[in-house]
Amino acid sequence: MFKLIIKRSFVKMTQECIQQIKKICSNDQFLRLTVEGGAGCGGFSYKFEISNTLNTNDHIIEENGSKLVIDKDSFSIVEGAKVDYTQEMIRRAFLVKENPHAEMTCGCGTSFNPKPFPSKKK
Amino acid sequence: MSGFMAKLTDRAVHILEGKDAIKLLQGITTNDIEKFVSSSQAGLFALFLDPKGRILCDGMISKISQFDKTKPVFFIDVHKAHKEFLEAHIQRYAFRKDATLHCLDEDMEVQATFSEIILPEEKEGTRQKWEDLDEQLLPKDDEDTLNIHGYTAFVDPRNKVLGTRTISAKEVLEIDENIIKKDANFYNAFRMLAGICEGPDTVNHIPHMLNFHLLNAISFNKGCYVGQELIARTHTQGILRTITIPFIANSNLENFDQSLFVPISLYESNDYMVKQGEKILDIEGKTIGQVISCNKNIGLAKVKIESSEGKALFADGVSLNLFKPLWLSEVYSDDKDGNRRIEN
Repeated sequence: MFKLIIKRSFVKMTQECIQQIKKICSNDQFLRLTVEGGAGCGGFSYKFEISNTLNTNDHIIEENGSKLVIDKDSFSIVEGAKVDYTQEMIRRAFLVKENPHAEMTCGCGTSFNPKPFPSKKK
Repeated sequence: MSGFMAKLTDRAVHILEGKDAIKLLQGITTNDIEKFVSSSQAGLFALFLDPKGRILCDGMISKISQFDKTKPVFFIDVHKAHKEFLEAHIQRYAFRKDATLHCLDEDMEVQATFSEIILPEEKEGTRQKWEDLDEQLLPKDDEDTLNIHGYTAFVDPRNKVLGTRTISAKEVLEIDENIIKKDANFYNAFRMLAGICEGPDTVNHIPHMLNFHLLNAISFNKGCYVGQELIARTHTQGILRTITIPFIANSNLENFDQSLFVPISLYESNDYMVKQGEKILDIEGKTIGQVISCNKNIGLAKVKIESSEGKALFADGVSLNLFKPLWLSEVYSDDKDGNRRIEN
């Protein structure tokens, strides 16, 4: 018997996100997403920055020439999420949405509380 | 009138070091850790909350005597029952941060010096001027072997009725013979009589209901931290319907001396232990609160504000005398509904 395991080893980008990266990044630049512990109301917060230095173990997600780079550690807790660019009255910003690893997201959407890490389960 | 000293054997000392230690603690505790850098504050009481704002654990955070903000090192003492929790909690949130926690349970101890009347003159949380003792207390050679930097002593930042707190290597403090040695149980009874909750008894409660907003445990202008949303909402809403106050079981308060900040002489060795979580009923059988903790004949109760005082109250068939500690009655102002407004 075969058991089909689909691994969600990707992070999606929405069209708005792709457009915005194109608009603000020059050729060798890309958008970098990092997750920082011990910050924000949820305990873990997302950080976006424009960068042009790649490190080893970085995950690169490329679509239509727009690049999103996530380091290995951060990737493990945003895997399966969607990166969006919102333009609302309150802010214009990149946002991580529908993160399957988040148990709860704070009101402003910049921080989240992850589900217990699988490796820590007893 | 007497002074007491107690070894708080129920507390476990940890050390947190790493260049991101300040940032990490700032993000996961309720108190403003930056105060350690910007002022002479040596000790801060803080709570670790879950994202929904309930208490997971409480801890006394203090800085070492030679504090350097580029290489911060903190002592964190928590209840022994929270030892594993704290280690797991710090490890989880130290994701991509340089901060490590070591347990110094074997080498370090916490001691408290307190009195029923005498109040320390220094401001809460600031370091005591005990420099002349510094040399005697911890010989310089010991420093390297223990990997600690001296000891630290400060006035309890929660409330000055709790006296001073010392964190040092084991068996190095010499006690003046006029000071009466007591055990941790005695200190805990004293603390309960002052209306201050601590340790596993706080778990799952909302900080405001255990008076923590009055005990310098929460900073309301430090920015985001885990659980901040609920705390900010409770605080700006501004009305509290429950309060935590001490009770004395099976005792009359007729010879109760109001001038004593903490009437510790009422602590008996008799066992009237009321179970934690037991409902508190008034004479008509109406539930007005809940027992939070109990130690011999003394305990803490979370009760509805309007119906707590001057009534016959019972829990588990034992009669309880509830009273408001002196410092608490100074802070609170009642409004017409019997609810208490939080002074913003």
